Amino acid sequence: MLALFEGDLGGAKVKEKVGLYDEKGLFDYIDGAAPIFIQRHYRKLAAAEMASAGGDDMVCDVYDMAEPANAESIFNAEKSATAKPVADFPDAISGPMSFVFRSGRYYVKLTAFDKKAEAALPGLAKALKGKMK
Amino acid sequence: MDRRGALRVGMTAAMAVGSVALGLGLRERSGSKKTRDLPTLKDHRVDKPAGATDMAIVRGPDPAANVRRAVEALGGMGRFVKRGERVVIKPNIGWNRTPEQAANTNPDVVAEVVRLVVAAGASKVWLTDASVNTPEQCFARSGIEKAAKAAGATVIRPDASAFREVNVSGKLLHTGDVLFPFVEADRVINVPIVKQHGLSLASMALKNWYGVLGGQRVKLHQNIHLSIIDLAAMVKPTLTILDATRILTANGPTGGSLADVKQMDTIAAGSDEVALDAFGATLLGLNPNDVGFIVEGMKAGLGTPHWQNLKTVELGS
Repeated sequence: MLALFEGDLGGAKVKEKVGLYDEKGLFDYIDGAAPIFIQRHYRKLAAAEMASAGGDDMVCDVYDMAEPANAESIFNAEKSATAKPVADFPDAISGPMSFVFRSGRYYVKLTAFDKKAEAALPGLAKALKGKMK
Repeated sequence: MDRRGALRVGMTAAMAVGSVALGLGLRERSGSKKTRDLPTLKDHRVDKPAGATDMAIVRGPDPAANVRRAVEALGGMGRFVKRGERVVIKPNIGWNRTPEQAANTNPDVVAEVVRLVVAAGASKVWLTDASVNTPEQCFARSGIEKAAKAAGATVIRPDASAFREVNVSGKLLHTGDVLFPFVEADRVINVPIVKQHGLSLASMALKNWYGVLGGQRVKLHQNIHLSIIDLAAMVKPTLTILDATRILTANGPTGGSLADVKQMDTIAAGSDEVALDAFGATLLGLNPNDVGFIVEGMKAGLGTPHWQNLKTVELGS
């Protein structure tokens, strides 16, 4: 999974090292949200604090759900009622400060903390998806 | 790795090898041996003056004003904090999230609580939480550390030296490592946010006590509702100020998308955490009877979910 964070990331860069969390460690990162992933046969999470090309903070969480059906299940389970589909990006939704998509066995959650970082999320998403083929 | 993380590894590792019962047994055996020498937290509650209001619900656009009006409706901070007392304030600072993302308590709410406690004459005002994500990020991104310091609080980050082992004396939890201000304080003020939670349905006042603890994660997650009640029964807070300025309606406790956040502009305050959580549950569209820790809290005698039967004041803007 670390390879997903190498090379071009739409101008974004990993600020510190990528954290890896297996099933045993998922509570370390998302606490009480862990069981709904574990129930869906979650395998591993790669999480990174990132900076956009403009230096704005973002968080990138890539969940390896083992099978595409599991990724689809968690994507549907966490889909916000008011989040919007993304044009030209199947299986993706965006809400303010958030961009979420699934690709193959991966489920990806990108989070921004301000408007400038939010604008950089689609570029990061496209770059990550390109590495998941 | 932060302290909470280190302890969770132990918990999940125990789960992975199917040794949950073994983990509990070891803790219980060592706990029963040690408990004679360990401190027990004080009862931080104060007597209710005759005729005093039990619960205040205030709605309005200014979070700080809502806090002031709610506390005033209860009789003022002087009802809860006397001059010279040491006070610890416990917001939710668990997450690397901004105030707009509503995973942590609103910093304007926290700062106003600090100001009221300082004005009441407290000799020491600590503010602390055992963050889930990296504490440095949580305390900064939430805006709480800056706001609380400016208002006069001493902010304690949850590094390893900040914990003391105490008796919990609960049904599941016998001993635990808690942040030291809870051992030393005369009064405790709980300032949780209202949010949805994947495992316990909701995180509000009672669930906020997970953030005092640095250990025993196996027990906490094996029976989350009873663990919550064990911790609430241990702390016995003086006052709770429930922050529903913004609430997280889905994908809690982490959140992230503003699509999951609802602006409620509401503060509720009182001494009955079960009643406050029952009220908070309704804001999330939940029936309080469906929330395990509310039911267990009532059974344990921590309060009543029937907040409408209490002497309650509701104020609008």
